[in-house]
Amino acid sequence: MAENHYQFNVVMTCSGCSNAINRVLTKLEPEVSKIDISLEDQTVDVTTSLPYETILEKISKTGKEVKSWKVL
Amino acid sequence: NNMLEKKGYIAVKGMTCSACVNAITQQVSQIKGVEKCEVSLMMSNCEVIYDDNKISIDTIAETIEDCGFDAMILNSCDYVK
Repeated sequence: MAENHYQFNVVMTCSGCSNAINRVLTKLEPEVSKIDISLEDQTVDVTTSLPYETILEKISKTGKEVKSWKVL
Repeated sequence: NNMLEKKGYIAVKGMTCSACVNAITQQVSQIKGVEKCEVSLMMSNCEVIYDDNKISIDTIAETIEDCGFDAMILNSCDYVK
């Protein structure tokens, strides 16, 4: 199945926040094949076969604000 | 008044700062049937007062899991104001 690489701009303030996002996205494996989170850049890079809405919903459910997202 | 209020405690693992606390408080407070939610960073737990007719404590724990934290139900009992 075709995979896409999405980048989400998420407000994260500490490693607890980035760990939290990592945790919820890890639960979507194997549909999510790669997760790369940068606290410094406030970005969440996801490589997945799932539609972006699913990922967006998962991140939103963590209570963190998603500022923007794009397809890379 | 057939409201059955309960008070429950859920242990939450993985919180490191007040932003983590706020995220959980915000998400749990939004659930219908949750009257009050207090998250303690120091105690690593979440105290909720909820209406047992509308919501189960399992659903509340699930919401915390969805926030990206490890949630374990400690106890829940009738709440008398």
